[in-house]
Amino acid sequence: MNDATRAQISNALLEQISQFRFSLRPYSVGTVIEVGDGIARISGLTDVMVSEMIAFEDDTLGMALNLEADSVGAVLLGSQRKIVEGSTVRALGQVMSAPVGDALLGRVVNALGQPIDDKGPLRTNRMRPVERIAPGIVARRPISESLETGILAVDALVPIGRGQRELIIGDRQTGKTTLALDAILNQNKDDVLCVYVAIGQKLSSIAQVVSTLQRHNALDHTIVVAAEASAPAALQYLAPYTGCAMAEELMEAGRDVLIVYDDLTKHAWAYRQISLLLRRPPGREAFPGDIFYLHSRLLERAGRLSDAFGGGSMTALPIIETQMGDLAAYIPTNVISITDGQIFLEEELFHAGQRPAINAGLSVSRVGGAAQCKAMKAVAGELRLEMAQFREMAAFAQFGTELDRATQQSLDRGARIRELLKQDQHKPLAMADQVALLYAVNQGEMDDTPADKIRLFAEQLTRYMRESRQGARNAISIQRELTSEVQELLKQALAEFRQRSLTLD
Amino acid sequence: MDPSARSHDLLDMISNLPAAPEAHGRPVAGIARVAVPLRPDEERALRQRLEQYFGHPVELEIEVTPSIIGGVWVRVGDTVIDGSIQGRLETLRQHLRTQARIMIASAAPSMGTDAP
Repeated sequence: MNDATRAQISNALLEQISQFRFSLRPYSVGTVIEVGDGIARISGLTDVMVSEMIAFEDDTLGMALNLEADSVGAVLLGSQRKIVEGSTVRALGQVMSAPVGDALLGRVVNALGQPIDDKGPLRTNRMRPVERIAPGIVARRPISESLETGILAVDALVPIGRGQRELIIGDRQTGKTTLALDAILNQNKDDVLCVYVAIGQKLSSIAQVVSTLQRHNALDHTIVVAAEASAPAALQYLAPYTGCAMAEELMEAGRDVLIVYDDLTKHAWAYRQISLLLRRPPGREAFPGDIFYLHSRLLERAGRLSDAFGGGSMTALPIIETQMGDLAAYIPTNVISITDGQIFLEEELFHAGQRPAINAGLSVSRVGGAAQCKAMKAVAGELRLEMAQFREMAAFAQFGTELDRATQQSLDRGARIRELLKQDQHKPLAMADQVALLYAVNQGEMDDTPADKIRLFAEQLTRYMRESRQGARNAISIQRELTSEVQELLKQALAEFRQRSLTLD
Repeated sequence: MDPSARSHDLLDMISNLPAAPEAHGRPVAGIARVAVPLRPDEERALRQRLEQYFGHPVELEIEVTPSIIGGVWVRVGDTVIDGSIQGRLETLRQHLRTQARIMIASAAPSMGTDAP
C-alpha cells in the first residue's frame, strides 16, 4: 500500500467520521434464561416486536418469535457456542432485514444476505425487511405475458406467465432442480432476472448449481441464496423470505424476476423444528398450525404489478419433494392449493427415458394459457388433445386388438409427440424453434420418421432453421402469431428441409 | 385461586393479580453509570429527567465506572439509554466498519472477504 492510497483511505474515514451523526435511541435489553437447540428463552425485552432482530453479547444475531407474558422465545441465527444463561440480549429495533439491490446479482449469499462466495463484500447498503405483506389488489394486474422456460414440454403444455406461481413437484431424483435451473438458464440479463433459493440442500449440490449457472453465463443475472443442510434451522426457515425480499426489490424497480424455492418441503421441516422447540402446539404430522400460512404468505408475494406500481413481476417456481409420488400428503396439498398450477414429475417416466419426466395429464397451468403467445397456442392446442387421445388409446391398445386406421394413426402421432417432448438438460429451445417443431409434427411431417429417430429429426430441423431459415424464425418471434405469412414460411422451410434430408439419405 | 370463583369475583381477581410495579406508582429500580461522580444538582437533574421520561418513579443507583469514558449510561427496567462516550465510539466503529466494507467493495471488487 503506498502513501497515496493511505492518504485516500484516511481522508475517506475522516469524512465518514465528520458526517456521522449520533442519535440517542433507547433500546430494550433482556437476559438469557435458557439456551439450547438453536433456541433462546429470554426474560425482559419488554418492547420487542415479532421477528425483530436481537443481538447477543458476542454479536450473534437472533430473531424474536414467541412473545409471552414473562419471556421471549427467540431463534439463533448463528452458533450458540458463546451464548450462556444470564448473558445480556439487546433488541436492535428493526425487524429482520436483508441487503437488497442490483449489487446482489451474480452473488451467492446466506439467509442473512451475507456473501459466502469469494467476490468480496456487497456493494450495497440498502436493506429491506424479509417479511412483508404481499401487494394488494390495486397494485396488481392480470398475467398476460409469457415467461419462456426453453423447455418444449413446459412451454407447450403448461405455459408459465410472468407473475405466476407454478409448483414443480415430484419424488427425489426426478429432475426438479434441473427443470428449474433450465428455466433460469433460458433467461437473460436484459429481460428476466433470477433468484435461486436453496433450502436444506447438500453444499455439494449448491456448489454444482452455482457452477452450472457460471458455465452457462447465467450467474450474472442470478442471485443465489443458500441455507445448506448444516445451517441452523432458523436460517433455513428465513432463506426463502430473504430471497423473496431481494426479488421484490427488483420487481418494484420494474423488472421481471423469476424466483426458485428449492425446496419448500425442507423449509416446512425447518419450521416444524423451530415451532416444536418453541413449544408451539403440534398439529398434523407434527407441523404447527400456521404451516399453511408459512407458504401462502411467501408465495402470495409473487405476482405482476400494475403500471402505476412499476409494472414489474415476480414469477415463483416453488419445488416440493414428494414421497413415493404421494401428492395427497400434507405439505404437497397445501402448496398445490396455493399455486397457480403444478408440473408433476414422475419417477417412472424418468426411468423410462422420458426426460423431462413431466406427467402431461396431472400437470396443469391455471393462468399460463392467457399468457401463451398466439403462435404457440395455435400449435400447442392440438398437441394437448392429441396427447389426451393418445393416453386413452394407448391403454386400450395394450390388449393387442385389431386397430382401425384412425386409431393406429393417432397412436403413432402420440408416440412421436412423446419423443419430441424429450429434451436434453441445459439445452433450451427458443420459442420460434418450438413453434416450428410443433408445427411440423401437427402437419404430419414426422409421421414417416420412425419414433426412435424423432429426436434426431428434431435436432436436424432445429439446426436447419437456425442456419438457413432465420427469416422464418424472426417472423415467428416478432409476429408471435401463426399468420398466413408465417405458415407459408414454415411450409416452405419444411418442404426444403424434407428435400434436403431425402437427398442426404 | 378459589376454583368456584366466577365473573362476579372479577374485581377481586383483578386486584389480586400481581401487577408491574410501575402500574402502582411504585418505584422501578434503575442504574446509572457515570465516569466521574456527579454533583448533587446533576444527580437531581438526572433523576428528574428520567422520571419524566419513564412516567414513573425511578429508584436510581449511581455507579462510577471510569471505563465508559464520559457521559451517562442508564438502565431502568428493561430499557437502556446509552449516552456514554464508550457507546458512541462503539456505534461509530460499527458505522465505519460497514462503510469501509462498501468502499472496499466498490474500489476493488476482487479483494478478500475480510473487512477491517
